[in-house]
Amino acid sequence: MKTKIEVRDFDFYYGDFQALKGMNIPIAEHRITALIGPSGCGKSTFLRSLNRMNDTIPGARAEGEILLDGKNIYDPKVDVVELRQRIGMVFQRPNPFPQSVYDNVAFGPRVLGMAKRGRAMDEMVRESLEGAALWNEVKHRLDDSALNLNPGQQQRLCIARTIAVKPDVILMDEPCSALDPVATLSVEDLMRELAEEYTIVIVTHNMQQAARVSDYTGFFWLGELVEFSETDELFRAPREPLTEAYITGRRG
Amino acid sequence: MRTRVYFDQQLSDLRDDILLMGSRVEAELTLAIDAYNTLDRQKAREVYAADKQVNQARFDIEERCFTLIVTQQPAAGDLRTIVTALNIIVDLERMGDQAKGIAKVIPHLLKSPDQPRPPELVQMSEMVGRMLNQVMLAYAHSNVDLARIVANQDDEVDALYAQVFNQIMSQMAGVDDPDKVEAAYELLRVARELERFGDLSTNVAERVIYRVTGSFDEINVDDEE
Repeated sequence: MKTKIEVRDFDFYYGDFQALKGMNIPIAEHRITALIGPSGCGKSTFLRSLNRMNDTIPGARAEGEILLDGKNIYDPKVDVVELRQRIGMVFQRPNPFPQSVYDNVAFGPRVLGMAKRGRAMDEMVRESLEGAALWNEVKHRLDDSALNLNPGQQQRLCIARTIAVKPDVILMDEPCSALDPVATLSVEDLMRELAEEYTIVIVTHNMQQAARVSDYTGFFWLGELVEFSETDELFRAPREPLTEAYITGRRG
Repeated sequence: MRTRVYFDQQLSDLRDDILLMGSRVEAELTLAIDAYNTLDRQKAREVYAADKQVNQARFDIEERCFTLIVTQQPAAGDLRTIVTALNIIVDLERMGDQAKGIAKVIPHLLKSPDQPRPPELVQMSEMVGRMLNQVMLAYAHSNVDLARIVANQDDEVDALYAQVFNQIMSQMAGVDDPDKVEAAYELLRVARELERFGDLSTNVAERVIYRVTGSFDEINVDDEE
């Protein structure tokens, strides 16, 4: 199995504060990697480091390497816009644009010049909505405002918007925390399907979710990676006592 | 801050109840051996009653394990604790059945009460009773070393079984009284029940090791099988 992203001795600082310490994580291609840990342990910082979303934070600084298909994304020559097209992100709260369902999905391809208006774009929108398991629910209301969709649909729309620009990797930052249990399960099912085509990294507070959806799990604690293993192994018999204490709810 | 106080209490109650079930099985075996030594039908009936209680304990504990799984979503060591409990109670229940099997033999032996009975059988019963006692202690204290010690004793039980088997087979060879043949056959059955009883203690020992280490460690693998 191929390693899509290789994180090597990666440190991250907010000013003097070191938020991530000596991270070494292999992210496997076409697999789901979950990152768990208590609030403030660095998992979201880490996720955002994977497509350089932290770059704009004043005083923030990264050291070490993150290799995407063998190339360091922190190389000064890297085009960040292109990087974020290859590594898309889905956020905690669904954040559709206040536009039609269609325009939400068409936004990225238009900006990137991937398709013009007309049939090619229609096709791209349909494919993306199908990919996000939303097409059947919205195909007759493509011109409706995205804000009229329910939260679960909105989140899947955001996923459709993300995959419309044909990324390699999808980062998900607590994608279900604003969703009810049924919508959560529909997004989880979708993640399984998406993993056939994309590499997925998900940050979640919900350990059962990590256990259900992911192939690999990393446990973060105070800016360090305590343990990284196959998910079933980590939840059955973790190697580290701290992992055990956390996943069994004795510590956190 | 201590969390999951309620859950911890439930897990500790679960362990206590399994220990109680273990001591019930131990008492059932003692009673069965007593009944066998004295060829006492009344005591045999007490074994049946004791076995019913053991069976009931198994179902009660099993149900509680399911409740814990569904309500507490256990992971890691907690999950292993509960799954181990589910396995151990099945082994204990079978051990109870084995003891009951010994009691069932008594009416048959009574048809030929003078039939010599191999002294190794009592020795075996003491050994497997001790193994059960020790393995429950290993379970109570999550002690892997003790669990291994228990498992290692199973070879001795098997060796005694082989001796008893040979003795009885050679006895049977020269006998043409059907009651005596039957009695010899039933004695073999007692030996077989005791041998199985020892195997089941070994199973429990394996579960104790798994509960602690998280890895399956099959002990006493029989290469001939």
